[in-house]
Amino acid sequence: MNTLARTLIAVLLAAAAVPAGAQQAVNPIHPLVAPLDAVGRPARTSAEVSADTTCGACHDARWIGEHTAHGAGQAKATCLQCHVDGGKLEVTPATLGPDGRLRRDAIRIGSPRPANCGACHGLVTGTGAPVALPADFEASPVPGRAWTLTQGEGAVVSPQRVADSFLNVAGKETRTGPWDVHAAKLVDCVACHYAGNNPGRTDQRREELRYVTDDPRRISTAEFLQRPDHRLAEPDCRSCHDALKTHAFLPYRERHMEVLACQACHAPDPVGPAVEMVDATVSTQAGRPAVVYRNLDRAEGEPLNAAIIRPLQPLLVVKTAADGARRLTPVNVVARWRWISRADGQEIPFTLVTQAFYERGAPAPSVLAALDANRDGTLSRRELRLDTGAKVAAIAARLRSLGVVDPVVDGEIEPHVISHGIQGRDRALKDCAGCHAADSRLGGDFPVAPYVPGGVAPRPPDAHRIDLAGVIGPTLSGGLEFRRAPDAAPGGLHVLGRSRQSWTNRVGFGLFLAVLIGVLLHGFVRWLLRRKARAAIRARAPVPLKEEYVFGRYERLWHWTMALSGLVLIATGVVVHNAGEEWPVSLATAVTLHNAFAVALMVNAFLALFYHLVTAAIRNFIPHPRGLLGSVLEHVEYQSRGIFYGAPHPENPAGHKLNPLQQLTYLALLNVLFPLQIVTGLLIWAVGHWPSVALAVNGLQIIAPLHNLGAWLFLTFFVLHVYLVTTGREVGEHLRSMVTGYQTVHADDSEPQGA
Amino acid sequence: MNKSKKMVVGVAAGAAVALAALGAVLVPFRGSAANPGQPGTHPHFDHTPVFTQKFESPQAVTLACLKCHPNAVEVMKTSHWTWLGNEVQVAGHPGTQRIGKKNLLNNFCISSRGNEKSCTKCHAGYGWMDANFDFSKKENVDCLVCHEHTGTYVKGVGGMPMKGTDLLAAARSVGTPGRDNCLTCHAYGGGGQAVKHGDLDSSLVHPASDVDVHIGRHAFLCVDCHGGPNHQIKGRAFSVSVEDSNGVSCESCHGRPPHRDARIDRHLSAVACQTCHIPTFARRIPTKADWDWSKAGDPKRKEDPHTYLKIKGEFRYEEDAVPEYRWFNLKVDRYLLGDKIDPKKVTPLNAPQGSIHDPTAKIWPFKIHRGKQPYDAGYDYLFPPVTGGDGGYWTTFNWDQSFRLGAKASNIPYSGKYGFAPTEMYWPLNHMVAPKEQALACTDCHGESKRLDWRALGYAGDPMKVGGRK
Repeated sequence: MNTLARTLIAVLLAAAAVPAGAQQAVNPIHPLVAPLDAVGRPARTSAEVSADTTCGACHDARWIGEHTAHGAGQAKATCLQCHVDGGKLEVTPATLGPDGRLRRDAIRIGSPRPANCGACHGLVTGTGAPVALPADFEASPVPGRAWTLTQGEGAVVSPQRVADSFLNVAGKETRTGPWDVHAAKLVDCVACHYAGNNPGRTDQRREELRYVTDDPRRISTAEFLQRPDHRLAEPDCRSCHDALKTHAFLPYRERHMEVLACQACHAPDPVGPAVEMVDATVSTQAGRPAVVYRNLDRAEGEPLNAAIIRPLQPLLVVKTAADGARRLTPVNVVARWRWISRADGQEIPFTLVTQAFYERGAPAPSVLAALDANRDGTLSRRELRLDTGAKVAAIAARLRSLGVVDPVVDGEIEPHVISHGIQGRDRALKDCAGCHAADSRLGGDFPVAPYVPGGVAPRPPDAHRIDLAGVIGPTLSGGLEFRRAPDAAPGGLHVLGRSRQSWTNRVGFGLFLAVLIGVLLHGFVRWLLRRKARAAIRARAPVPLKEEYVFGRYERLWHWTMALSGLVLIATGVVVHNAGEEWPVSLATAVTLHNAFAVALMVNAFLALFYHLVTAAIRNFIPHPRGLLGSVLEHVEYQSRGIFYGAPHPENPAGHKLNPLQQLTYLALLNVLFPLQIVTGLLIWAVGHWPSVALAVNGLQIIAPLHNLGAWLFLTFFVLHVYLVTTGREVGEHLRSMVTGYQTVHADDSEPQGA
Repeated sequence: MNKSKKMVVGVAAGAAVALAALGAVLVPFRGSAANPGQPGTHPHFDHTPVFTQKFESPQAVTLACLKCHPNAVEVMKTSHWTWLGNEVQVAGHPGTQRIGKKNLLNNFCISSRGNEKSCTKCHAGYGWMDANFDFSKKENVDCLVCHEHTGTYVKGVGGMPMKGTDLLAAARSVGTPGRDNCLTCHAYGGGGQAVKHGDLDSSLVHPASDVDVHIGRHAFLCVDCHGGPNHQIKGRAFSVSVEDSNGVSCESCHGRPPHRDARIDRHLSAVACQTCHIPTFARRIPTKADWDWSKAGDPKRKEDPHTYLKIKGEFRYEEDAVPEYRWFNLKVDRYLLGDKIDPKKVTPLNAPQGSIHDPTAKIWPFKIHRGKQPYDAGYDYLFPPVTGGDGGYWTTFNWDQSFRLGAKASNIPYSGKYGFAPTEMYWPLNHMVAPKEQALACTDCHGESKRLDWRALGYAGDPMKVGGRK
């Protein structure tokens, strides 16, 4: 479809998208009121109606005005804007009764409906016409009408399926769930954002109650209706949801709940048009600020409804909740620049800015002189930026001529916590690698602005509970971005599969590599000198050989169990550590397997220890102090020289199955490495279940790298072990003995030589 | 066993144990991939070499079939042949009786009596021209209409194949009934495409998956659900049945509770699966919603099969229509020939039984076909005039004469006065099950939606707020 057709359709759709839907129901018990004007005379038209006098006749309008965020500052909502459809009472001869009061069927007054909230906050729809952006989505900013829900959070609150909407959401055919799961389940705006003293609700007070679970005292309904506290509740997901009762699939459930806001997974990729930057230092000819959307592919001049909306990947930052919990929370960051007057610090009304740019519908000559780079008499999108001092000075001069005292450009960063447009379990982030991987959403650079108006660095948010924890730096193209460390997570969290303490990896890998190279060299030399060694063995007097049963059934069983669990642990550990890569098992499966085999290994180790203690076989592992050094040297000498020339294997100390080198290795393995891995592993596991443990051991920052180092040592041991298995009389000799239990030994010698 | 063999065996055994242990751990993480048979694939013996000679008559084909399939005469015991069900108690009527297409009235073409010639186009038999048809002649069974696959086999007057039909080719093509076989009748009942059932029409031969998930996405054949031994096809149409023995239900295949949300499962005690999973019917092809016989016979009106036909009267069709919802316990009342009516009131011909107080009833989606149909204004009962039969209304446009012929054909007195009375027929919806992504969601019924009229269903208000039935 060509652009023109797309544009046309989008315009038509936008026109059709005016919500029809049901209307506010007739309120059967609200008294029949006489609509009054501001001075208390009967109002004859809708426009004359004053909420303060009409509603204030019964409700304490003044008290309500003092107890609301909707009635102060920029936002100045009236009762009717929120409690009546369309924000105004229909006052016509048809709706008025003979006594001057509204007829019953005109009393359509009640709790705010989503459309009332949506009128100012963003795109909120019902089940009617499919979701589309309204024609005034980009209209000039009206005080109080912020659209923060959609432009800030990228949220669309609608029960409809995304796939059914008119918006060109990328990949929308797969989005068969609703725009907002709460809207879809009839949890409307006021279900959460209710009046603070609503006698039907107490959950906001629960935090204050320490030794009772509920405060049964209520104000009466009459008292409430007279003085409803319009400081609306802003409850947390946890006010209604007990997330621990679900999420059975999630490893480290408690830990996830501790460090993650629900939205981190349940609002993973908003698909409403979210704003990246609002540049109100300039005005378009239509009298609007220049707005850059974060997730919109839009050709110049294309209507919003025709543009392609990409899923927005939010910035995950640490937010301190009301209860003090610090959790990773998704935000969108909007950078906003505007003109302020340095005299009073107040923002200059945007209409003045527009006047500064345009005179009688065309750019002012001095503005053109400063900004119109190609001298075509118009200001293109690209030209409409104050990116040099001269341009700023030109506009400032224009503003001064309009009576503004000392105009300067001011910029700030507004983080918008993504709390709407919540997705149900089907679309929630379930891909572990979404966070637990090197290139996950916890890192990467996050654009702040494609250019910097007036060269003024935006102020980070103050007095917020949000820690943006990143460095704002310039981009090559002259914009700004957040920079985040590639291998860390916000808030200093240790995120499995993502966080790296590189020294453990380096030390471990170095050791592993050294041993690997060592055994490869050793093996290569053995192979080179194989004829010589064989000849030397043949040259010696033939030794009588016999088959002897050296490894009992249980010894072989515990050995192979240990081998299997060790291998699985290393394999799954690799998956967990590098969760972002493609693996045949998912991270969740890998973690479960890892834990399961760790249990198997521990049980096996305990039983084996018991066996060795009670059968006294433990002595195989304990080196003989006497002559230990000599014996060690003898074995070292054999391994580094004799083995190549077919020298006879040095004798083990009498009654010992293991040679002193093995004994030392196993002593270290069993007394150092095993406990290290078991303790650190248990701690990592415990951190997921009892967060206090994590605090006690300083989170995972210490124990996870230790576990990681231990894993390298294990891997190193494994390589060495497997190689030494091949150093028997024949290459497969030792392996055979550990499978069958029999080994070929000197007829006069009962000691095996093993790995 | 020598040593190396022993070692190989040992290693193999070790590996097996290791794999088994790994498998034991892995298995719980895999969903069990239960294979519920393979709907839509029914390999069949190729009959091409069986038949070598040209058939002189369709009956000869049937006799040839019976040579190898002697048991197939069991079809003669089924309603596809008899057009009558088993003895059954009809609510509000004494004793038991056999009812079916043969003797019931509807508000489409009204009655088959006296109109056999045209109605029996859809009879699984040959030569049913009038009341004298002999139901005991096995050669008159029509095997081909259900089993042939050439797609060229079309039945005409009295159920005989059209002249020139290649019977040999049809006989050679036989196999398991395909969707087109069933739909050749079940999608065209009432005199045309999609007239009767709102949920069965020719779009189901090869539907897109959003029209019907079973057929469109999973390639079901009709007989995958409507199977059954001895040609006793499972499934009930409440236009001709009053109860649901030998019926098919969603639960025949789908276990309970099939949802992952307890809130949805709580609906199951009061809401039929179909209610949410058939959000609209007549998805692609419009179905008849309203049929007014009283307007028939006007030679001046422009004819259009979807709005007006001189022989049939005035119609209204609906496409992608929202169902109406009623309590239903899988039993219906049934209007029988001779039952008195109040011509000023709407007479339901097969009103679903059940109410909010009936624990076996659930809220079901219906296509309700509304009609204005002939009745005897002297005796006040609905009347089966002869229409398509000889001398019937469709050729003479004389209601009085067609009533007199109908009185003879159906053996019911005619007072000499006639009129037109409003009636309703209820068609519970079962087909055109939408994919789950398109099933109804909360807001489709609750909140400000008007889809369900809670008060009409007996609730005090939206049960989300006032609570469900106890």
